Amino acid sequence: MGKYIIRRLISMIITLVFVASITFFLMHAVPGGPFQSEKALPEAVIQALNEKYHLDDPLWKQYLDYMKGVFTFQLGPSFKRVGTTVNDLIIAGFPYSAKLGFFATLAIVALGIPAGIISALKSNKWQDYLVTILATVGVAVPSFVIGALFIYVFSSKLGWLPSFGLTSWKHYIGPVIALSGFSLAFVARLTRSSVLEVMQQDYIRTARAKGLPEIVVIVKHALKNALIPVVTYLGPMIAAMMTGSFIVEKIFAIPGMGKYFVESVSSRDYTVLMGTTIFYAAFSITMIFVVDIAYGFIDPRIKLGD
Amino acid sequence: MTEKILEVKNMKTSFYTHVGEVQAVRGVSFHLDKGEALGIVGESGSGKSVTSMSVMRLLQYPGTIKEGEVFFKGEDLVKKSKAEMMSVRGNQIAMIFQDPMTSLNPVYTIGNQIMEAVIRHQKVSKAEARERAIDMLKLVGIPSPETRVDNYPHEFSGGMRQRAMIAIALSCQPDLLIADEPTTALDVTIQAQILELLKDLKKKVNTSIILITHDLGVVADVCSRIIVMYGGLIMEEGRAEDIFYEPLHPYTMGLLKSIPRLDLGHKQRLVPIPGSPPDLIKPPKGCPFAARCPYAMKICLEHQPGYYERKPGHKAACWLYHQDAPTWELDTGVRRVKG
Repeated sequence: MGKYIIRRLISMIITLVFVASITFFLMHAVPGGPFQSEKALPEAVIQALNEKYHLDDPLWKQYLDYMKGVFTFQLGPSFKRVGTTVNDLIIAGFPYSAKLGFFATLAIVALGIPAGIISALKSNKWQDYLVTILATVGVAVPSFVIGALFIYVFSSKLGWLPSFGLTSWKHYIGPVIALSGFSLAFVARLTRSSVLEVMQQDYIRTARAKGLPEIVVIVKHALKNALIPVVTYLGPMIAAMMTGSFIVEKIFAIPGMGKYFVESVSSRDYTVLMGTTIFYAAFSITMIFVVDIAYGFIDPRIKLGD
Repeated sequence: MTEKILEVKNMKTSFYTHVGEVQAVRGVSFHLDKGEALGIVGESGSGKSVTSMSVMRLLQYPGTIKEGEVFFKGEDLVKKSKAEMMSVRGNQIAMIFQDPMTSLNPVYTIGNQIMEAVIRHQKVSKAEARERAIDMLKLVGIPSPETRVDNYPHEFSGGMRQRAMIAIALSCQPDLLIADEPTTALDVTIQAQILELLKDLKKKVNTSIILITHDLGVVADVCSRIIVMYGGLIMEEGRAEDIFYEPLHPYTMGLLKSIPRLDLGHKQRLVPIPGSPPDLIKPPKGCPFAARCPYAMKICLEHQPGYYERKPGHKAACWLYHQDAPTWELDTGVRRVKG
């Protein structure tokens, strides 16, 4: 087990180096640069800026400098927000995104999984149809529509809930719904199909033949098997939830990480783009690792290690 | 007179699917004496498994017992509530299934799965249940049961898993064990071991057994009495030697002819029964086997025959035994070994 973890950690670092390298070169392959704007700056200013941020160095040198920074956790200064570093931006934005993502994940697990189970056990009854309709809506309607609609109805028309910021529990309701909508629906459907499949298995018949009550058959014998694919989906999903959604943060005016990520792309803010990408990749890889470890506990057939 | 442990009276089971009512079992009556081993034989779709699932009341939607009674130790199981059935299942009637590779839950240990039934039905502590699980594994011939009890199913071979299934089934000392094709998914050598084990256990723990199989060789070894099913009906019933040496029904004869035999040399060809079983959404009016029967008469297609008892306990549903039927030279498929 210990050996396995060490091996995995090494491979995670290699993956991150690849992600960082590919992003770096792709980013530089895209035409334009951080200091190009509609209002043309004087040539001398651009040159001075390029010199200041070492953008006039050959690409390989920039790359090596940058990778050195990554390994020392110094992600560099932002080109566009003068005086702030990428580390500052992540430290400022991530807590908001993470809090929001945490509650969204909670909603997905606490509502999506039970909805899927009920839907499977009552298949082709009204409960199933209700869940299926809601899930289809959840998958089909994009988060900005949910968010905008939410603000229109509950903030603007009814005036029940605030429309921006993240200061009280009331502020969370809208963003959490908008953020979790798709995944919640997806998890409900995934759980439904997985439970339906497991309930057809021979060992469920064996459990029934032992005279176990249906609730034990479902909770003990079916769920542990049925949740394996759901856990697979949850890992990377949690990473995506917690590193922030540009759309939801924009709509509800939340100062999270998503905003910086998307803005950095259009403004060629190289260091911010790199930093947020690497941060997201690291988070995602870690969650996949956690899921793999969790497998070992859920399913004894999966042996970690040699 | 021996005590009847199970008596099924005119049981009919149907599946109400969207294409129509599938009449899987169309009126089956039989009984089982205490300590007896009964074989139910028939090809796929003959209704033998549905019969056993009906007795256990384990039919899943859309299957239901439409009609009939199932007396188990004098009580009608069909009339029992769901909760009452739960205390019968696994406790007084236990079941083992065809595929041991998929019949055990992969995420729990063998011991856990044996203990579960014991704890459910008997007032024992966890430690006692564990002891019982180890004893059961020993009984079914699992080596070093003290360590094996903590293994997961994937750490067992197919034959061992079937032994574990038998251990689960027998853990509460059931009065009746229903084995539904217990050897079909196993290698031939393992089949023989499992059958030997069943025979041995029948003596040791004194349960009655219903053995369901499509393999006449399997029942010959274990069962004293045999029921031959076809198209949801019982075609012939009798003691094992009656069925093997004096078969009455042309379907039984057909089955006997399709068994490979060592003693006849390589020149003997196997004779398959031509045709395929009837569609049970629209079961035939007459005898279900008439369409494939070499001796079929007009009446066979029109009317379902009643049972003709040729000697006590040996009866067949076939018009050939009606007093007005013509006498045929029947190719019974019986080949006695000379010498």
